[in-house]
Order: sequence, then C-alpha cells, then structure tokens
Amino acid sequence: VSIELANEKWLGHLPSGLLGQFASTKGYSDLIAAADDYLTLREFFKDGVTGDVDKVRAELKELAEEASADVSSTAKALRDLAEGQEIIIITNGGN
Amino acid sequence: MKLYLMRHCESEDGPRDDPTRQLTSVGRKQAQTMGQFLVRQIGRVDVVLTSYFARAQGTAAPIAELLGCSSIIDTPALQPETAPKDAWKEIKFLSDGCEDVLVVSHHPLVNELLKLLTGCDSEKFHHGAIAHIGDDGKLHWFVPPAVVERDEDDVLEAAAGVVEALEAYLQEAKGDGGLKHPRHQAVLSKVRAKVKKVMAGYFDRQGAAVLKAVKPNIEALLLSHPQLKEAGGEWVTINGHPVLIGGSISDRVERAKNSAVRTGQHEQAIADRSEAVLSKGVGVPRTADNSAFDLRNDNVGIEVKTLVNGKNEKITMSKDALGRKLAEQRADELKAYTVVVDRRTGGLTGKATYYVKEGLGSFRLGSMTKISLGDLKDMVKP
Repeated sequence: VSIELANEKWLGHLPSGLLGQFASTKGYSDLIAAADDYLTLREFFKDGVTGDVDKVRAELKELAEEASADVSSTAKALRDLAEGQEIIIITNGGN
Repeated sequence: MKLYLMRHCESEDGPRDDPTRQLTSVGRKQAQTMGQFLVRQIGRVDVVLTSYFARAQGTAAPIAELLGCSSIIDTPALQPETAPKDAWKEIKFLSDGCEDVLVVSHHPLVNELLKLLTGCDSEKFHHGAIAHIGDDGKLHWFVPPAVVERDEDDVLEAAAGVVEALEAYLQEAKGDGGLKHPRHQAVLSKVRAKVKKVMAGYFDRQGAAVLKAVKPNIEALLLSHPQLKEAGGEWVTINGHPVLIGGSISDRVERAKNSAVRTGQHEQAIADRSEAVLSKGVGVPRTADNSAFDLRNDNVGIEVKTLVNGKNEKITMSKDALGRKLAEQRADELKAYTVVVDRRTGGLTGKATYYVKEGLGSFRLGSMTKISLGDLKDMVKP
C-alpha cells in the first residue's frame, strides 16, 4: 500500500487532497515502531489525523536524526509533505 | 477593469468556424433581454469588443445600443479557437484605460478565458450567458439568459403589485385618511411582502446559477474568498456536494477522526498483516521501507491496497505515488499489478476478497477482476 499524506480535502475524496506518498506499508509500520518515544507522533499515528502539525514536524526532525537510514528517509518525506498544512491525515488511498 | 465576458446568443447551426452564421429569433430576443439586464445592472460600458463573426456582432450591436455605447471594436483575437492568453492580451490592449468592458465571443474561448482569469471552469457557458469578472480578478456573478428571463417575469409581477398599490393610494388619497388609512397600509404591506419575495427569489437564483456554473472549480473559487479564509473554512465535495469544513482546529480534527478516510494504527496493523499474508500467498516478497511497490521481485511489481473501512468502492493513487511506481516499472522493466484486499467485512481474521488489475492508477472495484489467491499466484508467475 502506498501510504500517503492528505489534507481535509481528502475527506471529500478530492484527489487534490492527496499531498503525496511518504511510505510503503512496511515503511509506515517501521516509522510507527520507531516513534514510540515521541508523544505527539504516537498520537498522530494512533489516530491517523492531527492538527498539531508544527509539533509533529519538530518530532519528525528529531526522529530523522537518530533513526536508521530507511526510517529517517520516511520521516523526512512525511515532514516535507506536512509543511504548510493545518490538518494532516494519513491514508492508504483505499478508504 | 471590470470585465463582462459574454458568449454570443443562440445562432443557426453550422460549423464553428463559419463566420456567416446569424442569430436565430430566440438569439435576437436573448440579446435584447441580456442588454436590458446589463442596463439595469451596470448602466453603461466604455467599450464593446467582439469577434467579426456575424453571430457575435449580432449580439454585441443591440446590447451596445441599449447601453448607449458607440465604441464597438471587432477583432480576430476573439474568434472561437484563439488561445486565451492571446485573446486576453488583445482585450487589455484594446480596452486600455477603460473601466467597464463588454467582450462578446465564442465557445470554447469564453470558457478558457474565464478559467484563465478566475480559475473557474464553467461547463455551462450557455448562449447569451454573461460572466462578470471584477477588477479583483474574481468571478462576481454569472448569469445565463434563462435566469434573467425568469427574473423579468418576477419583476413584471412586482411592478403590477406596485401599480396596484398606487391605484389604492390614489383611491384613498381622495378621502380624508390618505396614506395613514388602515386599508391603504394593508395593501402596501402586501406589496412590500411581494417585492421582498421577488428579491429573495432573484438572489437565490443568482446564487444557484453561479454555483452550477462554477461547480467543477467551486472549491478554488470559494477558497479564494477572503472572509472564508479568515474564518479558516475550507470547501470539500462530499458525495458530489460542496460542504464547508470550518471551525476550530480541534473541531476539524475530530471531524477528520470520525471519517473513514484515515489510516490510523489499527487500520495500518490490519493492512500490514494483510500484505504479509498476500506476499506469502503469491510468492512475491515485500519490499524495503519507502519503496515504490509493496511487493516485487525481478519480474513483477505489485501495488497492494487493503480496504479496512469506509464505503468507497474506489482506490485512489496520487500523481506523485503513481509517478514513482511508473518510473521504477520502466527502469526495471517490470510487469505491474494493482491488487485490492477487501477486509471490510471480516477484519484480519475473516475472509478477504481479492481484486486485481494489470497496471497502476486509481480504480473502481467494479473495473477490477475478482480473483482467488491461488489464481493470483499463477497470474503473477513469470
């Protein structure tokens, strides 16, 4: 599954709401596992939705600095896609 | 500059590039109706620009006359197939220094100009329709003749009411009571109510016409509205209807959490396990983190979508994700498949339903082939 980041437009299934892919299924699972110590990220991944975009981006930056190369690349991709958004939603595009 | 962009009125059938096609009798009536509408709405224009085609000139001339405008300029840049950027360049050149400009042109140029100038993409730029684009570059109103004609009837009805009131007044004025007479007040109240109803109906229809005209790009139009932006609102289309998403961030997050489009940890766990089951079942290994495909070997790349919740019978892939997969497919000469694992009824422990389609993209389940895991394994064998 391509795991993609979306904004609220995706609630109405508008394709323009999909901001881009940041992970494969496995990549997303690895990111979730690596983020266990990061409170905001943990909540974000639990719900698949957050309005704390700045905090999420800050924690992703920290995570990217200390994680393995694969997880770091996934974290960076997610951080880049989230820039400038108010609310972000994780989707596999199959909902 | 305030621009009034108009498609010529109804004309005789014929090829688009035939400059001799004339207006029909309906078209001539539409030109009068829309001209009178412009007189009421704006009163005047500085210049009327038109193509030299007979149907455009037949529209422009009577309207210019009604508006008291003697400056009519025809230009080849307003022919149907002109590139919108070239047409806009010419409009700006010919109307330099003008405040109010009426442009009469043709389909598809009118649609393309509207899109170029406002971002709105009107599918229904009917014959005789006028789009008013303000000097702020936004679409202020968009009115087809049908709406104006209905309003004409309503205006006549209201006018009849006013006449009725005047007659009542004259009758009453002969007596001692004058305007203060209770019977006179009763008639005036009825007329006020009627005029109010007509006005409300008029604005409702104007609104409906605008929404219908700009539906394909309603989101862009409404998002650009400054008050909406200040309120933090956004419009999305849900089941084909534009819906305002607004309120505080926490309200909006709650709304998103309650939707079926998110992939949280629970959904992800099911998708992850489901993909592992599929990988084992078809004998194609899972890929490393952040790879373009979910399963792949030297011959095939498989994109897997697991449906966990929601009622949408469609899987969607963004352009970005599709581009990455196509690049990998081309570089490694892979055969690509999209596989949907539908686990909406049984979760991870229940029975899954598999669908396959050769190729990549956004698909409806109805366009995919239902398949067993065994047959899928045979299908993806080299």
